Amino acid sequence: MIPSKFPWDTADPADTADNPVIIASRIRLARNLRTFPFPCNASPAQKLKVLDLVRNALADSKDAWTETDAGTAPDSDLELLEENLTIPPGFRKDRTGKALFLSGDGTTGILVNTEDHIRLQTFAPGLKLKKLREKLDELDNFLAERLPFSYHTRFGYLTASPADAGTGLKASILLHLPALPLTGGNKFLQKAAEAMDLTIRGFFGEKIKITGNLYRIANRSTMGESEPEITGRITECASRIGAQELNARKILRENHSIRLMDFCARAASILASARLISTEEAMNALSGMRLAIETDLKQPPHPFDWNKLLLAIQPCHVAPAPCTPEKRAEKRASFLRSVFGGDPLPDTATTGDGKESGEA
Amino acid sequence: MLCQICKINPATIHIQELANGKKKTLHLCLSCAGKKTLANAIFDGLDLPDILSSLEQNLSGILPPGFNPLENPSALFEQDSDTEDPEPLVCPECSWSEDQFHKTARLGCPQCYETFRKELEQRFFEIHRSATHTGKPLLFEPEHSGETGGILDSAAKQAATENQRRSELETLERDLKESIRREEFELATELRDKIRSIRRTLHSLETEDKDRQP
Repeated sequence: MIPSKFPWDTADPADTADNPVIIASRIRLARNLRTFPFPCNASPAQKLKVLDLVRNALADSKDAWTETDAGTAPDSDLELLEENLTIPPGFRKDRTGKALFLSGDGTTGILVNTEDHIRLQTFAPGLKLKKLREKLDELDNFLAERLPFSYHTRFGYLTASPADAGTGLKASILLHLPALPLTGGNKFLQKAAEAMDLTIRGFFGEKIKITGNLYRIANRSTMGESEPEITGRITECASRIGAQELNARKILRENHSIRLMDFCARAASILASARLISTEEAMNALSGMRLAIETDLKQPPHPFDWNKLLLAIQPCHVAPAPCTPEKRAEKRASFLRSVFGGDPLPDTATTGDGKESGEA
Repeated sequence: MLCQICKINPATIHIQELANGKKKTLHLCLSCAGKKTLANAIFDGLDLPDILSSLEQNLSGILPPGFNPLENPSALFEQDSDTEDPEPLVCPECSWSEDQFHKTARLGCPQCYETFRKELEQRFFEIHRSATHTGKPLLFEPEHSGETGGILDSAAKQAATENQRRSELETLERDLKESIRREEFELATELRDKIRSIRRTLHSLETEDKDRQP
């Protein structure tokens, strides 16, 4: 059963984010077995053996792990998992020996035979790198006791890419930053990241174009610092960027309220009246809607769950393959109108979904 | 202050010249200073070994090992002296080639880290600004030891301290460069001495290591 939520989207009320700008934290640890070539150089038989070893090691675990074997899982399941950000892009290629072990609550995953033999990952809402690091540390110790991890006395944990060697730790924070670009604060973002030696990517890890004002900052280097030093650096940088975004919102509200109103009103109109909408446009509009709600320009519709909405508009969540992009765009638009209704045009083409919901 | 000749590198060497009875001070980087002193020696008949030995005295501890301008003046011009094309490396454990490493930026197996160690150390500095792991050590003795590899030995725990020393060394080396750039030479001398003492300890540790693992 594929969970229809992002892995950081937990039901635990204690987990709600303190700062609305910081959406989620993630930590990943790369580990390899020293008795096998790395997956890029391993035979199918060797990969299957690695998978067997991991499966056996996890049999001792007190947690219940659900295995999804890439070799046998249907495409549709893997597509949903990819949109959930539970598995990385490219997981569906070269599937022999590849598998995902997912924890009961869906927040922690063990990926086998992706870029490295083993990649442990865990997510949480808000800025929680310390907690996540401790959680993965425990899982890492559990596995290290049972599997011959490849470790070098000088270089640390060895990985297929030298860019991951050392700690094998990549930590990232997902931030929603709509006001910074509106106030020209992007330069600050770039500068802060450069100064702290961090990378900035988009929601799906894309480098060039950012969609939905969602930014992921992560550490570039994995060697020469301890794990707490790495996560501490990112936490500090994320808090600073978060504070800058809140400041930018304050400036917008106080000095450029028309700019803020325009941005949010356009987003709201698109959500309320589009007949065809692409994933990208929908993500951008949802960003504007979130900003409108967080700056008290608009009351949220009931029920409003931004994480769920963001996931529901992703292609395979809108409609499973095979489906044409236009059909998906139509379904997506229709779904969004049903949530954000108040359509100025009478809706004749589709069935009654133009509910009034307090649109200003 | 930038080098007065190339105007690119920071000036780390300051030479006073007497020309036509007038004193002239030149602020140069290491590379230009080398060229300049050689050129002077050729054209003005200055005492080249004298200049170079004073240079070496000032710079010993900063210069890379094997870089001795007294014995090999051309080293001043070619700091990367490995110009010969060696045979392309291939990992004996997994047959991963140097070419595959360059094309994919991936390694074939854990043993590749020894096979391509020289290049990897350089890459580590480029990517991570460090080539020494200072994080969590592997504390568990693997039950399945002895199958292949052998990178992990019983010294894993001790290595954590050794790695700390290396990391300290890297920090000191960075500080040294910075202090030279800022022309704080007293501090630089102090740092150089510290670096030397750590290098000595590490060197003796490494020799022990080699004795243990032939």
